[in-house]
Amino acid sequence: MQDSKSSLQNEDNGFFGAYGGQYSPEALMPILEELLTGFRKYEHDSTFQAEFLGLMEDWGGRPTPLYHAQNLSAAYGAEIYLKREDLLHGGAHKTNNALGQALLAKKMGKTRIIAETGAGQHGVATAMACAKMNLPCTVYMGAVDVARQAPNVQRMKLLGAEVIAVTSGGATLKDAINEALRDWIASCDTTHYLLGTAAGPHPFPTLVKHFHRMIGQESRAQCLEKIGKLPDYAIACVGGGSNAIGLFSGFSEDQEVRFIGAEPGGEGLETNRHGAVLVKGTPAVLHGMRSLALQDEDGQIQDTHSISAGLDYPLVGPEHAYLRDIGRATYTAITDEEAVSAFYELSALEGILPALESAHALAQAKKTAKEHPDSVILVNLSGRGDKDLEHIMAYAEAQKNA
Amino acid sequence: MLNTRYTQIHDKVNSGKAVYMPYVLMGYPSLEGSIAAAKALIDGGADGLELGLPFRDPVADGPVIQDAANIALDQGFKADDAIVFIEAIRAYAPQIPLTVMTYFNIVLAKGVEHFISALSKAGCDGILIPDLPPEHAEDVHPITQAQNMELIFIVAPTTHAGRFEKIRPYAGGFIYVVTKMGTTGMKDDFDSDLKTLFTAIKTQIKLPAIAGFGISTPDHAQDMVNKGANGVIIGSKIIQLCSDNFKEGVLSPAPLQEHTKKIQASLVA
Repeated sequence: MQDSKSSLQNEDNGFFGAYGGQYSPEALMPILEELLTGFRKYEHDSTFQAEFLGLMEDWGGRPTPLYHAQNLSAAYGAEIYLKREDLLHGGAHKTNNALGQALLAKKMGKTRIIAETGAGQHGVATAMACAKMNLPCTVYMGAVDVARQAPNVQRMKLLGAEVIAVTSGGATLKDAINEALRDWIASCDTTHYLLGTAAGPHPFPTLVKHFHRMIGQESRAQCLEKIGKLPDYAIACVGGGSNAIGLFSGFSEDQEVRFIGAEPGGEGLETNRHGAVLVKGTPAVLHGMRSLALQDEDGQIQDTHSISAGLDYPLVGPEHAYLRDIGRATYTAITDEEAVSAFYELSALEGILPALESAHALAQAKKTAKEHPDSVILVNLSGRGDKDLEHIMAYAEAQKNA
Repeated sequence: MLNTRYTQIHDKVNSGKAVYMPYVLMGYPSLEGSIAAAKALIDGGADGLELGLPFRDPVADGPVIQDAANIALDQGFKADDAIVFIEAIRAYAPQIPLTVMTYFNIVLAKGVEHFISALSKAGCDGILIPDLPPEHAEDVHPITQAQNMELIFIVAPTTHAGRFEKIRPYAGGFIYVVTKMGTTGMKDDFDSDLKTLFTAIKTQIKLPAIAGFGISTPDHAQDMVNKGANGVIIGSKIIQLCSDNFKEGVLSPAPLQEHTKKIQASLVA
C-alpha cells in the first residue's frame, strides 16, 4: 500500500492503487501518449503556468473567496465555511479545467475541441474557454440533460459551440461520453477531447486534478488565514469527482483533515434510482479506466438517477475509489430530498442559490455538523444554482401533488 | 504460439490466399436467429467467425452494432448465452476458428478466469477485447494462455512502431486491422497508406493482417486484399442482412450464404 503522500500523486502508468490505467481502444492509445507527453511538458513550465494562472485571475475571477456562513453555521451547529467556486466565471469550478485544457490543446497544436457535458456546466465552461482561445467547439450532451438544462444549452450556443443531443442509452452523461469518445477516435489527429471530470484514461484523472488543484490550495491558505487552523472536515459532492479531488488535493498531507464525498442518493439506496457509485458500486472497466460502477452481474452499466444532472454518472474517478479503499476519504449518499432541503436552506439563510450538485455537499455538512457539533467544516460550493431553478420548481410541484 | 484452429487461417494465408471472417452479434436478431446466421455464414464458406457479445456502451463500435446490441440485451441476452451459442456452433462446425469479441467489463464482471475457461471449454479459439490495449494485456494473457486461447489485438492507422513492440509479445491468431480512424460502420473511403500498415504488421508482428471497420461490399473486400490485407472482417453489413431477413422469428439463411459466397469470390478474383 502506498503512503498517504503518494495517494494524491501517481506514476505515469496512471494507477491509483488498483484503479485507473488506460483501458482504451488501440486507435486512441497513441493520442493518449501524446497528451501525456504534452501535459508533462507544460505541467511545470513557468510560462504556461503564468499564462494559465494570469487568465484565471483576470478572466476567470480567481482566487474565489472563502466565506464563513454564520447563519448556516448557527442553524447546523458547526462552523461552516464555503469555498465560493460558485463565484468563478461561468458559475462553477469547471472553468479551471476547461481553460487549462484548452490552453494545453492549443500549445499542442490541436485545432478543434470536443467535450461531453452532464448538467451543462462543463459544456458552458468549455464553450467559454474555446471562445477565448479561438478554438471551434462541439459539445455532446444527453438528450435528457438537454431537456432539463435548457439555459445552459442556450449559453453554449451563444458562446459559439455546437451542441449535439445524444439519444442513445439513458441519454445522460455516460452516453454523452460514449459519443465524444467515438468522435475522438475518428478525429484525434486534429482534435482534443476536453474531458470534464477527473475520470477516463490516464492522464485525464491526473491532468484534470492538476487544473483544479487551486481549489484546495487556496482553501488551505484561506483557512489558515481566516480561522488560524485547518478544517476538521473537507466536504464536496462527487459525480465524476473533479471538484472533490481539487479540494482534497490541497489537504493531501494533512491527515487531521477528514475528507467526505457526497454522492447522489437519488430516491434512496434501497431503490435502483441513485448514483452512489462509491457506496454501492463494484469494480468495472469503462471509459478508459478501471474504477467502480453501478452495473448488473453481466457488467452492463446501469442507468443512474439524480435530481442533479451533474452527478448523474454510473462511474467515478479512479482516485476516489482508491481514497475510499485506503480509508483516506469516506463517501456517503445524499438523497434528492436532502439535497433540495439544503438548497432551500442556503438560499434562505445566506442569500446564496447553490447548484443542486453542491447542495449534496451542503446536506452532508448538515449531517456532519449534527454528529460533530462545533467542528470546522469546509464545503466546496462548486457551483451556483440559477441553472437549476426551473428543475427545482418542477420538483416542488411534483412533491406537492404526490 | 499455441496450437489452435487459427493454424487453418495461417495455412490458407501462407498458400497465398485471403480469408473471410464475418462478424455475428450473438443474440441478434434473437439467440436462435444469430445461431442460424452463423450457420448460414459457415455454409456460405466463411473461414472463421467473429462472435460479438452485446454491450450497452460499445465505444469502439458504431450505431448499427450498438442498436443491435441494445435489442439483444432488451430481449434478455446474458453473457452465459454466449457459451450456449459457441457450443451450438462448435457442434455444427468442429474445425472453424471462433473468436469472441467483447468489451473488457463483461469479462471482468463474469470473472476473468471463470469466463475465459468457460469460453475455452465451449470451443472458442481466441478473444479480442477492444478496450484492452497491450499495456493491460497481463490482466488476461496468462489466463488465455493457460486455456489454450489466443489473445487477439487491434492495430490502427495511428499505431506506431513502438506500439508494435508492445503488441507482439501478447498477440496471437491474427491482427484485426482498423482500416480507418472511426468506429465500425459502412464507409466508402479508405486511408491511402494502408499498404504500409499491412506490410508493417506482416513483417513486425508476423501474424495475418485481417482488415475490419467500414467494409461491406465485394469491391471493398477486394480493394483491401489488393492493398495487402490477408483477409477481411465484415460486421455492420451482416447485422443489416440479419435484420432484413428476419421475419416472424425466423432468419432466412439464403441471403447471408449468398453474400458470403460473393465476398469469397471477390477475394480470389
